[in-house]
Amino acid sequence: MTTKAFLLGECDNIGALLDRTLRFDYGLEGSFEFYEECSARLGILQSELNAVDPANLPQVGILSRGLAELTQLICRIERSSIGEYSWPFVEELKRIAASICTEATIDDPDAPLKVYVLAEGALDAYCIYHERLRPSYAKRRLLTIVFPKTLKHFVLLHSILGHEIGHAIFGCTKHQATLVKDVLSHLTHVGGAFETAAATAAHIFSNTVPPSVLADLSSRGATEANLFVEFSDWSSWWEELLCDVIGLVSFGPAFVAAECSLLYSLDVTGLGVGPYHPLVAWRINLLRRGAKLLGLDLLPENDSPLKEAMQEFWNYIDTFVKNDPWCDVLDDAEFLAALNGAEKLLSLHKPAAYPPPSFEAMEKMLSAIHRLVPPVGFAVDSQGEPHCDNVDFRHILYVGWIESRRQNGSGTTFSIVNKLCEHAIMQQRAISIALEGGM
Amino acid sequence: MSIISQNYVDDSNLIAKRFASIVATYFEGATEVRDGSARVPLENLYRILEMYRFDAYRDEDRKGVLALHVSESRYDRSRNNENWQAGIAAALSQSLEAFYRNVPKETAIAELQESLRSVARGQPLPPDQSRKAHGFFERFGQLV
Repeated sequence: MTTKAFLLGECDNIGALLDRTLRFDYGLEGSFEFYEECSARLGILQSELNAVDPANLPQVGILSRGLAELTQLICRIERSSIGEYSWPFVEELKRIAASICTEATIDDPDAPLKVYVLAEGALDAYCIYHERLRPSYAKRRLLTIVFPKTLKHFVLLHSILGHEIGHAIFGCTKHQATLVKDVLSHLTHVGGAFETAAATAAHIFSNTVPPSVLADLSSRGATEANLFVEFSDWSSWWEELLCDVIGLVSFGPAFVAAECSLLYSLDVTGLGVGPYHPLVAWRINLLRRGAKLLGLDLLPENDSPLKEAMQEFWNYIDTFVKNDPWCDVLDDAEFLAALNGAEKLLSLHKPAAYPPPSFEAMEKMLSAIHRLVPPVGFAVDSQGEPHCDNVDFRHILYVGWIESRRQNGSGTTFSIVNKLCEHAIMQQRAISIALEGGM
Repeated sequence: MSIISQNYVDDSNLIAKRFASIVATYFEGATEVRDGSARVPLENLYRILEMYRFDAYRDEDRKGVLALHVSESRYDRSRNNENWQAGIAAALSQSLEAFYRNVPKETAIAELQESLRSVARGQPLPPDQSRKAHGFFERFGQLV
């Protein structure tokens, strides 16, 4: 059997796999659109295989790789099961993605990317994969959101996906140009630690570098000259910073708390120099400073349980900040300009940008969650009349984080707070639909 | 351990080349254009033109937000080859110069995208626009 004949047989196998799986309903909204997309990919691969000269090995190789990628994709989508992730959170995340993660197609200049969700792995599974822009056998690009299976209901930690939304936004051609102009230019400002790869390496190997960092780098043979040649990818580092900026302006305080908790649980010193991400200590210090620059840590003026609880929350965040100037890598003015640049773009695509909460609403929600009631925009007034209000799900998450850090709290565990917030997001969606006249 | 390991190969240029030659035939009235999978080359070229329009080619293949300690292997560095688009962008520029000389880049890209849209929808194009689009994609397929 020739390679071409073998691959044509594999096309039949993939077609059968597709019919056995994605033709049927998977997930909340069914899987027909994925079936249609995969069928189009299989169709072009099959017709190209039929046409290819068996002696044209480079072309046969490309088609072979295309078939392998398609099979992997179908199997990933098939694994996607609604029972394995927090679908109320996913619905909110999808609303953000649909508003801004778009691509220009022949039929629609702002077509939302098709999103599917799956759960796998452990703590570090959080990810949003966007298919690559470069030529491929894809008709439309797909977005895959991945949650850790062990954290199904931990919606407070899911806020970290704000960073991942950043990658997906940066993967949208027209936003990429805007972000480079309005955000990246400030992150890589002249004279800063991220001006060039050489500047970043010089900062790392400066006289003030913590001895443990230097010892780790030296033991691996890394030097100022070869760090971004052999060990780390500088362009990935700045993209990660850019995505932290987007995470902050899209998810607000809940994003800061999620990054502090998760990043430091994986790199306990915060000083590991990895291949694709800047040091955790740099990122957390930046986020805390960004929250201050944006006024996200403002407290109510009156003395109240909310003020006290919010203060406690930000005190907790401050425990993750390293008081070492070596860990502060950007100039305040430039960093604020970068934050404003990201906020400007996201504000054009509602509900992508984090909206400032009202302290009055926050106070009511904090009181509710403290009584183990899901914090939503619903109350019964003194006359016994019910009142509904719109509440952004990111404010529910912020209230959840505040409650989880409350010093003299009700004894609720982090797990219970998460479940209350997950229920709140679901209930709030119903309230919002009712307010919009949808019920 | 899987049964084989291979270095990553970036197929961008060859796929773009093939798609351009396929799309060029659509402007000659190929019937396959109404088939669902015919949209794949059309959408790819539309996407390539969009990247060229915004000069936005950043296309990292990446790990998740927390994948701090992924392999530091140098073998897979080529996956993130930052210059994957160099040949494609150069071929687009030369093809534009050949068929849309003195036309502003933005206008030329808009016209080419409109041509792809018309072909996808089976709508007739003015002969001159069709001829230029056909020539452009044919030349691009030769150059890339």
